[in-house]
Amino acid sequence: MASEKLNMMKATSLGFMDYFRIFWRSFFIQAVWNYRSMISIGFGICLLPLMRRLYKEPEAQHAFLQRHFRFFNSHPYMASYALGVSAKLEEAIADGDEDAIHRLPKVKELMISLLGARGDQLFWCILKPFSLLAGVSVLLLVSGLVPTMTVLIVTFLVYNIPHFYIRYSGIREGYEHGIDVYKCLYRERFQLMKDIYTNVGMISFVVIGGMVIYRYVAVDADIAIAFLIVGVTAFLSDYFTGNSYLTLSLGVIMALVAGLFL
Amino acid sequence: MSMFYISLLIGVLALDTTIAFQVLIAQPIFSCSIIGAALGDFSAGLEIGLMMQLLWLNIVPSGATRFPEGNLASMVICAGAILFELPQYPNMSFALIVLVGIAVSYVGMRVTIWQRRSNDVVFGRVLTAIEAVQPGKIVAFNALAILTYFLAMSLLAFVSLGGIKLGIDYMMPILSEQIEGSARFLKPGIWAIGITLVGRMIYRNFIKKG
Repeated sequence: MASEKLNMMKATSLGFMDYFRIFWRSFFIQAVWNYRSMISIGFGICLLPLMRRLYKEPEAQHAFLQRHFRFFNSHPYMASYALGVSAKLEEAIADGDEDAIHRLPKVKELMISLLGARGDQLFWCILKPFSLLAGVSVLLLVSGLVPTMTVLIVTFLVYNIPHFYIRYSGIREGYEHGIDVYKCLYRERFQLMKDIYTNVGMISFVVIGGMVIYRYVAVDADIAIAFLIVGVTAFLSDYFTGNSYLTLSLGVIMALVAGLFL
Repeated sequence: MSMFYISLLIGVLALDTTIAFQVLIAQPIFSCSIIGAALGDFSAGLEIGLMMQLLWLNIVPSGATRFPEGNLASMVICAGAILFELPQYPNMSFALIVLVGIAVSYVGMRVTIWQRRSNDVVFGRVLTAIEAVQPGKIVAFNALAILTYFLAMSLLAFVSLGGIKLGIDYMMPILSEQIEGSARFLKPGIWAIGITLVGRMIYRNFIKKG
């Protein structure tokens, strides 16, 4: 009942410019990332235009700042859902709903792990590596300035269209659904996108492997041997230590050592 | 474009990793292409960017994770290679530049941690601004944090490029055709490391988990 009540309030009061202001500021949400409050400063700054619109008295503004600058963490793109919900609840608070004051910190707290998990899995583990892999594979296949520039722009868009969509629609959906926003964040919602990017990424990886072997390795038996030695060294180092610096340094040193003996 | 201006450009692009935008413009295929174009050699920048991209693809820049500043390292490697690579000893000078780049990825990670700790102090100041209801001051702290990170990364890039120049100047008299020959497998070797790391990432995250 309470959620329905909140969803009924001022359902259309956030205009396009309000969305845009929050959307634009959300690009700097991690600027003051710190160990004490994580992204709360960036999060609060996104909502400052709303504060200026809703509250004129210093006491009310002080309470607003207290509510949003304490502690918050999330995936930077998915934080937009929490921004939308917060905007909705702030409007309810400004309308005199006492309940919303107590609900707001609880809702934000509940969203931390959900938004973090969804965002990390979708963007950092799938969309980022696989769109870049697709870009690298096609760039290895094309030549000339115009095709290369086109591929770079397409790669940029392949990642950033879902990125911008989530940033903008997250605010909108969070605002429209209020505290029921978790219904928009079910795991299967992004499954098709995940499957497409994963499959394209896997194919791209095979293409990259083939192109590298064709271009750099298959031209000379010594290069093929050096390639294998460095690859095995990197594999063993990564498998046993998981240390990136050591893996890279050992690989480079092994490439130099292979050059001395082959 | 001089070393000074290219360091500033690297500082701007480095902001994209975690501080602002996060539109992937700091990823090697984009940033190295931009640096290459700025230095008048787009194709060399792109080639280095492609090579470097696979090395840092498995980095997850989430939350409090400590990760190598691979994007910054790739930009320094790219600028260093275009500005200072010796035409008579390309492989050996590239080997030195890559080793400096690996060190930069570590120092960059330390700088990021330092910046996050200094943001703890900024948070204390923000709390004071909240008590005084000064939202403008909070926005100013936000801008200051971005500026600090930009300056720190630009300075690191500038010092690293200076180190590369000094190292190459020092190395030049002792280089020979024989030593140069020993570095001829470096570029295929970097591709081998990249493919291995990406293959491991795909196996770990997708094949093993089904």
